[in-house]
Amino acid sequence: MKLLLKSAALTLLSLTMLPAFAVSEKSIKPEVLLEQVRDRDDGDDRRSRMILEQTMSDGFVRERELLMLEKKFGAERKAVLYFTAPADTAGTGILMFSYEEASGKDDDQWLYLPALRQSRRIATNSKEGPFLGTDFSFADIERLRVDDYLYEDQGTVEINGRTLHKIAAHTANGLENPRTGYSQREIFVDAERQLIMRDEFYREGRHIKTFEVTGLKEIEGYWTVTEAVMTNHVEGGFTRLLRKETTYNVGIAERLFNERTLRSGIQ
Amino acid sequence: MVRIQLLLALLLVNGAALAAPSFSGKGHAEIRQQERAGNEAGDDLGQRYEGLLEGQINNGRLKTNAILMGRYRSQYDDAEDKVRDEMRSDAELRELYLTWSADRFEVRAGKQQQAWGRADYFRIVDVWNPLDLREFLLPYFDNYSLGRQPRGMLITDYFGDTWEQQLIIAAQRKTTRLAPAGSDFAANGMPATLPAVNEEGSGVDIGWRGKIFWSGNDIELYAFHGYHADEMLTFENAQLVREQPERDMVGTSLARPMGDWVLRTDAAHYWREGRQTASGIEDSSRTSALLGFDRVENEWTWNLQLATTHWYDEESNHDDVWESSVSVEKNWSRYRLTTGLLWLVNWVDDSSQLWRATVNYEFLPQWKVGFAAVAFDGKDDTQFGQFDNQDRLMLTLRRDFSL
Repeated sequence: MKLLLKSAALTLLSLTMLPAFAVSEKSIKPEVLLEQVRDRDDGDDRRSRMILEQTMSDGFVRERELLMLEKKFGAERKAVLYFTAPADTAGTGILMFSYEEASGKDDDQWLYLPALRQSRRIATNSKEGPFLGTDFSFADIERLRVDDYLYEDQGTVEINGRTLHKIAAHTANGLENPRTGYSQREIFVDAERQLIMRDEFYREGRHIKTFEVTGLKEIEGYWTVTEAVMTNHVEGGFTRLLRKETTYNVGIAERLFNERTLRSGIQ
Repeated sequence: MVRIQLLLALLLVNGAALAAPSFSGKGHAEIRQQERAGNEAGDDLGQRYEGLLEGQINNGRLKTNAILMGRYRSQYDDAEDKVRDEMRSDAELRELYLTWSADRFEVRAGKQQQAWGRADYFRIVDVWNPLDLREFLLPYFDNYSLGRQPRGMLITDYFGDTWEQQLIIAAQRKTTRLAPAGSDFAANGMPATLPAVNEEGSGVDIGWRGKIFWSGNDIELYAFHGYHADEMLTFENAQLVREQPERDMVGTSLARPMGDWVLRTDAAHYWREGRQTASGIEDSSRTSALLGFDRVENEWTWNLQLATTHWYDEESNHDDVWESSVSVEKNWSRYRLTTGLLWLVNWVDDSSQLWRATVNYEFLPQWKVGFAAVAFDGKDDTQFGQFDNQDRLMLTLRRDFSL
């Protein structure tokens, strides 16, 4: 249950972070493209309602709903995830501080468990584990870290009528990255809309998961992923991440990004 | 009566301010079949039923929370000559409090609970809410908040740029609820009839907590002046009476990541702490500390704890207490299965221990069935050993729901 709660908080971020990959169309050097994605302008703050719908290989469907607040604090980003449904998860909250990649600092995360009425610090060193038991991992939903891999530009491809930059990524030694659990990725970037539209994940040469944006909408001038799917090719099943309501630059108070909000919840 | 009026006033204040209130609620219903393990004698444990409703009304800066809970234990239905009625069934408004929030302040008033510290199971600085030990917390190892007894408190939080500060005043007295004589978890020597409460031993608890996030560390400081959660026996005018001795405490907590692990510690010094002795309540002092490590990786959750308490009094032989716990949980999310193992150890002069193994399966959304086995071990005069004949197996069906 603790793991489930912890993963719930992180799942919310995935909708936020994955679609946040911004790219300059004229840039073709992969590292530069991905740095622009990482540093994309998502507004000063964002409020969203998210649904995490997991379909397991046996057809069992598990759905979780949460509210998510995000805010920039200079190069730092903070997020609060608060689960509102189902009943056995409602009241759980996650607080996340993400630091500038150049700082070398790992994220700081806290998990509030209503059953204990206490916040727990979460270790963030290893993020390959499933987020809330879903097909997303903690690494999938965290802020992009360009230095995790070496990149190779593989030109452009047409997918669903869009021209996407294809980038091959692999670790320096060919082994899996101990933090993410992946040794290789194939990343497809929509340079015009500045988003990663598809991401294929490999471990030891085996294609294990595919992330794909299946819903996209321009909201208040920001291209926003409204639906994304992570398909698990090893275990079977898939997880849909839906962003139902999103508002940008609403002036979310700084005071909300602390453990108090985990206990009190988001209204 | 005063408490009821206060709660009604809180509700009215909130209601008057509710222009467009929103409501959210949830609850659970649970039935548990219990069996004694092995060849131990005793009454049929039968079923245990539990229902809980939890609601929250929000309107901007005002919020009202309430939790209602009811329990029924068939084991004690025909045992009224041996145990007090309280073990058969009970229903209570566990929590009812109003929260007012401003930019830097938050005030909570009413019947509620507040957890201090970073420890699980061992209460180094968690002084505010006494426990309900009538069932030795067996139903609440995974939901510890239901093992605490909420009480009337006024809690004020101030959120500064660097420090968060909390002031708590609790006028309502609550004491640790012990299992009555004749019930399964009655402590050794529990008298069939308890002596009267010494009214002079009552007063207000007051406490302060400061909290700072500094260089990746969560650091908290605590100060408390008030009364022990446990009632102890002493003589007053040649009469045996129950009394909560006074206690004064300062403490600190720390939590920080260390690689794949999270380190957490609690430490406290009680320079005034009552202690039960054969001659009454001994005015004593003690220092307690806990070191814990947590790790979550690939659906495995590890929690390791070691705690110790040193008493400074001269009369007792039990000057040092050691406690430890190991908890391992594996979440087989693909199979909607969770398994867990908990091992608690207590050592004073002799060691005693508790083992608990659990398997929970979500067979439908929000429907769970769980199996648990609990075993006690140790000499009769030890913390867990006194319940050595209370090993049991439990099968639980639980339904969670939203309102």
